Amino acid sequence: MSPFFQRMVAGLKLPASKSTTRDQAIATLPLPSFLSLAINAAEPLVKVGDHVLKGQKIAEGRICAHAPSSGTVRAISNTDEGYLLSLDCDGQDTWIDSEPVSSFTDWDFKNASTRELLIRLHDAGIIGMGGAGFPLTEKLLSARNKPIETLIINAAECEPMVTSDEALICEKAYEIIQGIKILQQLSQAANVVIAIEDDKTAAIAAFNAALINHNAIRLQIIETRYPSGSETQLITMLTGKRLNAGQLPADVGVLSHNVATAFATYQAIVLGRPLISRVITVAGSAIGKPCNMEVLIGTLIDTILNACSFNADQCKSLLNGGPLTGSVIHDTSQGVRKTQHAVIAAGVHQLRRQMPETACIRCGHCSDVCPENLLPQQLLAFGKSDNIAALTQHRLTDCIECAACEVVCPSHIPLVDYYSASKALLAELKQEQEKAQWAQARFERQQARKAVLEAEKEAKRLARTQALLDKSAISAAASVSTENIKQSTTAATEPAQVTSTAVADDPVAKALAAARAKRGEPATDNTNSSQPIAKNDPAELLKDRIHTLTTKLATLEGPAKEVVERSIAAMQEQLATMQEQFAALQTETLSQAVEVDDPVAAALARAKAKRASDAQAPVLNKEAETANLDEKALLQKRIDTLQAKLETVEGPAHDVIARSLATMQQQLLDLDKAQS
Amino acid sequence: MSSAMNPFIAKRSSAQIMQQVMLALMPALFTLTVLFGIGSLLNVFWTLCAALLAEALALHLRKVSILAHLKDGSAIVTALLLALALPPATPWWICISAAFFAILISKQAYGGLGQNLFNPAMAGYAMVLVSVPSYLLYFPTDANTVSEAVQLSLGLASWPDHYTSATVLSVVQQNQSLMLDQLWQSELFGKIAGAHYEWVAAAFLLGGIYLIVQGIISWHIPVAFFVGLSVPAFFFYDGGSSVSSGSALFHCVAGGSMMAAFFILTDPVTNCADRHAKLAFAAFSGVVVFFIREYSSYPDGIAFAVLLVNTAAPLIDKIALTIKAHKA
Repeated sequence: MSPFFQRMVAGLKLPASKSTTRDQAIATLPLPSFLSLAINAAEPLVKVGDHVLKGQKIAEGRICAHAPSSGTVRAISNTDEGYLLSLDCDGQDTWIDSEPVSSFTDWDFKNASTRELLIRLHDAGIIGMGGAGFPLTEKLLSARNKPIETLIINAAECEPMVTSDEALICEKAYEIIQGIKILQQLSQAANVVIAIEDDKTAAIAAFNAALINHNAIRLQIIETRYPSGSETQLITMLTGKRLNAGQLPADVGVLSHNVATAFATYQAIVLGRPLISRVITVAGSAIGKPCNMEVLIGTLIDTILNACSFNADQCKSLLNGGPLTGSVIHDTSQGVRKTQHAVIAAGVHQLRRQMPETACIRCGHCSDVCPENLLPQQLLAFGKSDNIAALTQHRLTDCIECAACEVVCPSHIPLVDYYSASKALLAELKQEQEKAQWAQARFERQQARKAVLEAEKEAKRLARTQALLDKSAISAAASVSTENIKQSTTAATEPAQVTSTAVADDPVAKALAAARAKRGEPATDNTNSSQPIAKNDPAELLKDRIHTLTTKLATLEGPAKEVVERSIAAMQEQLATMQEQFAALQTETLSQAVEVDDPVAAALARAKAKRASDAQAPVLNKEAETANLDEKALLQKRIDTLQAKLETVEGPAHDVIARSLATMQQQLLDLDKAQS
Repeated sequence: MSSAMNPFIAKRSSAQIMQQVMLALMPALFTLTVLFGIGSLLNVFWTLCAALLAEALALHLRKVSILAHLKDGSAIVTALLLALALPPATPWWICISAAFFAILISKQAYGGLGQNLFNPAMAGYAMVLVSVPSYLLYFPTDANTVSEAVQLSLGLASWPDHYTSATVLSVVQQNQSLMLDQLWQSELFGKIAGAHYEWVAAAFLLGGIYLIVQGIISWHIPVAFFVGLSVPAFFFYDGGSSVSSGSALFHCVAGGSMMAAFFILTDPVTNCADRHAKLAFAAFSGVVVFFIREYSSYPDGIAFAVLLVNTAAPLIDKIALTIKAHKA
């Protein structure tokens, strides 16, 4: 509990154990005969049997993949994470364009557009090479709308035994600086800071030499303290800013990239070379010749171990990555991945003594070293009891699994294992929650779709009835005698109220009955039940429907509500149209009747029609008044209005209008004929 | 996973930490023995036997490896603390009941090491204190012989009157007529907080400093406790009238203050987890100790104060976290 109060730097001093590989030049592995490429987040572009050339893009997606050497695709298999592509190398190592193309000579990228650079980086399959493996372009794009003040280049490499970044810096400092310049240009960061631990003297010297002409880039030497290379640690150390829970570095104006990512960026932009190789450290007491080595992505762990005089008998633990954060390699026939920075073969004496796990005494040493200022002892207790709420409150997801807590734990508790399990549980629950939300959304969408379909069906049905009505009313009106005018107009105005006594003589009622029979509805006795009558009046039906929907509207929410609102609006429109048509129909019927016979009866009918249209749609008053004008002109006018309206409406309403337009035009023609 | 290899290992295991605590308690045990005879050693004997037996029994019932868990040493530390808290040569049945209560009820019933809510030693002590207060409120004033001590411990005899007295804390509490200066004229009071007992307190202080140097405890908790105890003591001190309860220094040295500061409140299991909450925990304990001494019928309030603040530990943690989350 010695560092009791809030510290700037947590973490702990660990023996670096880097001396065996620290000062070694980067070795190169002889061209392997076989490569095994794990393809994640991308779809293969090649088939089994295809011959590919070095640098040829073999998978396209979030993380593009390229053939690390020329050869033949032996197999492509599906895995949990994506695809596994086996490549038989032909030993020629032929580049796809004989030589890597480069349109940017050194320092020339300054004139390139951001878009161009991003496309190149994406096409080169560059990812964050520090470990997380997040696609670089996605990281850059996600920070695009946030002002970036500081660009941090992470060269800390705090994990014991791993020296791959250090070796890369010693040999490629100049190239790395160019990569950093590109990354700076892409993020528009004002300041650039390279963070490096103070024990890497050779790398510091290399950087200093390469930085002579670059005053804008600051080299910050930090204390060697595990895990100084963690992103949050670096940000706090270099900028004094603290990340709150859930915040991304870009939210506080910081973007950080690994030094190896900067080098890969240089290769992609300046050399036009995709990410097909990387530097890894091969070390551990079971390795005869520990070294830093540039290997092609996909090189088998077996191949690497053989080249480094691996002593299998001595090896107690084979790790992908460093001793603290690495994961156990179970299958040595797997290929090197883009994010892998070390292969550690630990011998007997390097293995942690097999201390049995004892009870947590809550000594708090773990919280003293936690770089994320978590309370590991509490997380352990909450994890054991699956206390989801408390785990979330204590920021389990902020744990970077650096294992510093494990190192200091006097009870030898494999804390990171517990945290991984808890994280998996949290992720699972979150997924379930998302699933439930998705299902809920789907249900709502379905309901909304149903409502739309129903509305459309209803509208079509109404349109059909309307058309039938139009027809029958017109034919009826045309054929009725003068004596029947009164009756027929009543039927046309209020078709739903036709009495059964009238049916016997009334052709309109007959027509209606026929229409009903055609629809498959029983020809009900209208006087006995009022419900079917109401149903047969399209306007009433529509009104009824609108009413129902309006009531329903109150109970709905979200997208469904919008849809229903829209259909109500459409129906109201329809209703208006229908009422217009009724008015027009009456006028027409009457005018035809007038032409046929009695002016008194016609006047009566007109008055009645006016009253009816007044009651139905006050908006139409004006038009109804003009009904006394020349019928032909009126019809023409109405056609014009409707045509104009036709342009503005959609869906079922459109159909209805179109149909009634056609009818009217026919009438107009008929009128013309009759006049002539 | 990382645990598959992780070549780095903590400086000390939990068992080794316990051993260091035991070692740090030795000066106090030694001083008590020198000043008052082997009574405290007999206490240790009884509590140790009972604690180990109870622990083994509980582990057996829990169907876990008895030896592996006994080795963690936590039961021994509890037994030692209990033995030192009890007056030298306390009757065996009191020692045993206290130890059984400490281990079985206040530790194992909660799920064993690391799971207990209450400090086991203080829970055991409080239990016997409320059950048989008359045996615990009087302390010897001088050393007795081995045979006397054994008889006392076996319950075959009781302390001769001239050998025991009420503790200075209880004298001060019950004093109504004398100025404090006059009280201190008495041989009983020594220089600061009781003849002989000042040296025991010094021995606890020595052990505590050792633990701090070893990095097993942090100095912040004892300091916070002393601050929490001193501030009210300072404000209530009227310069030494007959109703005064004694100076801040008196309170920090008298009774179980030193032991609590370095060995009880630093118990990580029953403390808060958050570092700032730990400070609040210790300071709050100090305040409660003072008010128990001042206003209750018990002369010393360490055990009750610790148990009370133990129950508040999760709440203090929660408040600290909420404040921090609010600030962030």
